[in-house]
Amino acid sequence: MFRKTKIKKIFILFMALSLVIAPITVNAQGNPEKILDNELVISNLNDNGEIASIQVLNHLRVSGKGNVTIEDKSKYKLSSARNLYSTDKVTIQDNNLKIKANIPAGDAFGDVYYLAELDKKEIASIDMPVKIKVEYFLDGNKIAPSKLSGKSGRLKIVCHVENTTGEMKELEFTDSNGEVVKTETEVFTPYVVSLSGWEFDNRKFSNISAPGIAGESPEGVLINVQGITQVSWTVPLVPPKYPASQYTVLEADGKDIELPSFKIGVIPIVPTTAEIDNLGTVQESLGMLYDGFDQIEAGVGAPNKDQTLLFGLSSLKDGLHQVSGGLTTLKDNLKQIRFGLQNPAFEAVSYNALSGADASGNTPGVKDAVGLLKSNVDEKFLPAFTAQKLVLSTLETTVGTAADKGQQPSLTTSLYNDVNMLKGAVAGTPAEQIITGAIEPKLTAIAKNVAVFRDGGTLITSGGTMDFPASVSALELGANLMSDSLKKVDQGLTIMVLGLGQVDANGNPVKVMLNGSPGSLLYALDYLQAAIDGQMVPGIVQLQDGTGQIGSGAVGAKEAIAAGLQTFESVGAIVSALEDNASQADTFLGKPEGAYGTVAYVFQTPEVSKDANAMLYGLGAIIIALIILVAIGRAPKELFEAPVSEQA
Amino acid sequence: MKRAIGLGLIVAIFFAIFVLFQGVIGATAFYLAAITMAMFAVIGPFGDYFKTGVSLLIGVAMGLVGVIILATKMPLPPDHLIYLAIVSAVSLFLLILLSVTGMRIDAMFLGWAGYFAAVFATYTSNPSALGDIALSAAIGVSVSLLVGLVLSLLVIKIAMAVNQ
Repeated sequence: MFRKTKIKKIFILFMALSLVIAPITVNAQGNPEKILDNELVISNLNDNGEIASIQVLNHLRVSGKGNVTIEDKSKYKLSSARNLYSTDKVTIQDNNLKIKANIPAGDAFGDVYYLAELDKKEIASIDMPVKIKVEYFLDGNKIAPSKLSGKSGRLKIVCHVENTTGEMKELEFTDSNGEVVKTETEVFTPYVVSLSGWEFDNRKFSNISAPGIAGESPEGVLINVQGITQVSWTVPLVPPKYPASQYTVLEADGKDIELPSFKIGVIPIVPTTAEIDNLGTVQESLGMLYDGFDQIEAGVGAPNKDQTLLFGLSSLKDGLHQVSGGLTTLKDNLKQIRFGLQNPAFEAVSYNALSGADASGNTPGVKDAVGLLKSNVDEKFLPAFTAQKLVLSTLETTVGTAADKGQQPSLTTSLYNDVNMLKGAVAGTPAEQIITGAIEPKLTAIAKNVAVFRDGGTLITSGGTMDFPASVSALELGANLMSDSLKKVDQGLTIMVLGLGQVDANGNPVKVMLNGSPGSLLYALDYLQAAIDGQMVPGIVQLQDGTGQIGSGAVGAKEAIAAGLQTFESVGAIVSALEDNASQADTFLGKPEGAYGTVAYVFQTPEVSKDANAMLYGLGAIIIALIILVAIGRAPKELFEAPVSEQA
Repeated sequence: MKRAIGLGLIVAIFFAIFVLFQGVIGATAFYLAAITMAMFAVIGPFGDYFKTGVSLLIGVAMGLVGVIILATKMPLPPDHLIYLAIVSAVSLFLLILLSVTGMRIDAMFLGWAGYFAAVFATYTSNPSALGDIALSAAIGVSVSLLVGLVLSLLVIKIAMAVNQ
């Protein structure tokens, strides 16, 4: 009876509890109306700066009513999944996650947070949209972070970030001419990497800097707050505006180095900044630049295109070739004149008047001939005239004068003396009459005519007298005048020869420079031709090449500007593609069907601390303490071994 | 009196050295040593300090296991009080059970409480960080407690020497 009553009471109590508990524990099975799936992918980097483990913190916000079961397919094999804030189970079956969510009555939605850990074997095959690699250097040498603890020196941390999502995509847009253009270009999913709040204890670090290089590496922002220097970078990996691959650099002098775990956040987003949009102005400027290069290209033209620079240069080159050819002819003719004036090979010493050439057969030039002539005059004519005058003077002396008398006739006495002696000897005889009438007048005429023949004057002839200009003295004077004239001719010819210039044995003009300029006509022509052939024509060829390059450059610049203009015109399409990609980058693991997702990535560097050592020392301290306690802290045994009589 | 002053100075210097080097041995909860000293100096000259030390370590270990279970198997804060209560209750129940083996219940509780004092703030604010600090905190707390125990033993020895 008592037993029955007890069972009845328990049954009543159970029923009563059931009525209370049932509304709480039993909830209708519902369907989710809307699911928001926010993923935070946490990657822990190892000593080599590579990913060692990946956890995904999922926040599911489920709209609807009652208990719902959400199926979420994972792209990767998971080693575990755990509901963080409730007891609702998260189960994994063949990479499928089943998550139970309870939406409390009266609430519009319920939240489920679960943490999934990827199987480590999967990590190697995972292509992260943004690759992160962190390298540590101490005093210029690469070092693993685990070996940095407690060390001192110049610390450098380089963080490489690379957007790996680039894919060729066909973009369609309308250009400035209103034409629809299709172009294939590499479009990335835009990611912004945030390295924020990297903290460095000022007691351990000094001279902290985060330098940047334009187009490669952004500069970090340093904030010193209460003994801690915080360094932050924002790295947009959004081609084409920003490079897909960049890096950050941190440098500091470290002492007894310890570093916290740094966080590197990555989110897919098209960054919106307060930057003033100068796109229209730039586009207009590029258009003008294009026109400018177009005019340059037209001005440069081609060698066969009239009224262009290349055509003019080509004509100039042809003209210079003609000038050079003309100079060659002029030089040859002047050389002939030069050889006509003076034959450099002619040797006057061996000149043979009969053959008209020297021993080598070289004929004299004009100047050579003048030289020969003057030489003849000076060396033959003038001495001959002097000798003739001497002979005539001797003859005049031999004839003597009417006053010569009284000397005994001999070889040295004059004819007059001898005739006067003879006349005295035959005085009074017919012979005296012959002497007086015939011989003496003749002697007088001979003496007079000899003097006239020598010096000029009136010649006595049988028929009377006559002027005689062709005296030996007159000839001598004429020869002297001729010699002087030949000398002047020779000087003139010498000046002409010098003006034309010396010619070497090969017939080439000898180099003569006066005050830095060519000193002869032939050398000047040679110099001019060398300048034309050796400098002007090659210069013009170079000018042509350079002009051609300007033309090519202008064409290339036009193409580049056209491509740039097209890029500008395609900016809208690119931005749309980026936004599409960003909106599609909404999950890492995968999301429930129909869910709206967002994803963010956090990479955590390993902590550099002396905790490991501290733990070792701590363990040592524990052991020592236990040894001390064993040694002197144990209760004396005699206390527990009192005699039986005392215990009673 | 001179001996008491001398030995007291030794204990004080030991404690000061311990505080100075608490960072090196990871005993950031160094103040626990003073609590241990306060609690166990009363054991007296014939108390079993070694067993007390082992009891302290058991308490710390129980706390460590409890925190690990809380952090890895139970829902995390803020809606965690029921689970915290369950784990705490089970832990203390197990400690009481263990006390029947001769372990000191007060020392085990102090070990458990010391460990929770060291990590509970982290557990509530950043449970994921427990993975890094749970074990090192257990060692640090153990060091502090044992150092305090050793010092309390020294204090007793001093007292005995002075009384003699």
